[in-house]
Amino acid sequence: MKESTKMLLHYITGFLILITGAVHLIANNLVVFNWIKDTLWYPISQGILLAAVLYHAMNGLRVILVELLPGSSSGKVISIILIVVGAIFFIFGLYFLLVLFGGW
Amino acid sequence: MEESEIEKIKFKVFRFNPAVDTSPTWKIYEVEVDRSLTVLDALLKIKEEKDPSLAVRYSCRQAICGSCGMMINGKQRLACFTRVLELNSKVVVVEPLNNYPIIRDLVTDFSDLFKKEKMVKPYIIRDDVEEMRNPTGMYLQEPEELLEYLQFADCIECGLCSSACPTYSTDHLFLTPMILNKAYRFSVDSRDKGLQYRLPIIDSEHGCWRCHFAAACSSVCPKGIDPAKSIQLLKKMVTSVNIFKRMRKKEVQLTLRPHAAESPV
Repeated sequence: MKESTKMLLHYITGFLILITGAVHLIANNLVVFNWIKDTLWYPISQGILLAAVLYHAMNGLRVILVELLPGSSSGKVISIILIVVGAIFFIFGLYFLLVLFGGW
Repeated sequence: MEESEIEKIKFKVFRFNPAVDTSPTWKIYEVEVDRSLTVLDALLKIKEEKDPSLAVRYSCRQAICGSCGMMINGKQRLACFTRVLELNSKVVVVEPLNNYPIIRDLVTDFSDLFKKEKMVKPYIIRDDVEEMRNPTGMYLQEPEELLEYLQFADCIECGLCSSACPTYSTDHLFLTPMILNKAYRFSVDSRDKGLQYRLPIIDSEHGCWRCHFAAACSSVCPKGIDPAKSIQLLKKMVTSVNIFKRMRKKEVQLTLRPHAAESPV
């Protein structure tokens, strides 16, 4: 993936976190908006929030590490490690979402 | 000149010869300065009158060649473009530029910058090879096309921007503001068709995306260029081309010279 694609996704996921994060906070903290949690869109937005937070966080970490540990092959190693860590967190998070909303 | 206009200023100068010394030292010299004396003049006075072993790089003495960049009282400046009394300080601290290897005393090594500059092909690239070999006309630009790159074309390659860059201080593979500004200057030029050749290096892991817009580069540029702006515009250009597959640039048309067909080339 090109660096520009990675960074565009970083900005898009940042925006998605704002939207889905706001949905999460409003639905869980304002009683008048509790009904949001009963809609089909809520678990979908939480799934998007999970994926967006993980991509944004892992890419942010990659950017920091690539700058702190510059090297011809270090970028690739850092990316692979973060993809694996991100995938583990995603599977773990998805499992919790399915238990909460899917009745697993 | 009146006696009152002359002041005695102390110069605290960084001294280090990597071939001989194990660690840097500081030397203090007292120089009589008047209001016209620049830091470079003062350093040359020290070299001529007090310590001939002091190493300083300079050439034009009028902020055109970009050779005499150094840290003066903690900020990146051109020594020939900085008057001593304008610093309003009784002690002037002079050090080599940050982020570069030291050759000796105040002289730093720019070879990494020049190597990176070659990689972004800082010249106009065209595909009409025959026209380049045997020109029949001119590529006339509209004033607004000139304005797209005019400000960024003033770079004298003094390296102050890259010395001030916080990203370059940790990531030595980062292309640096000076090089990215060069890449933008040529890529936005309506006569140029070379962005596709520059993209692999500009859009790499250590390319334009590593700029965090601290804008330290713009604050130290002696020519008033805004490299931070050119890097943001470069990001926009790269995104347009790579992701949205479109280029905003208007292509300049060849204007034939009158009687070009008859005149021998």
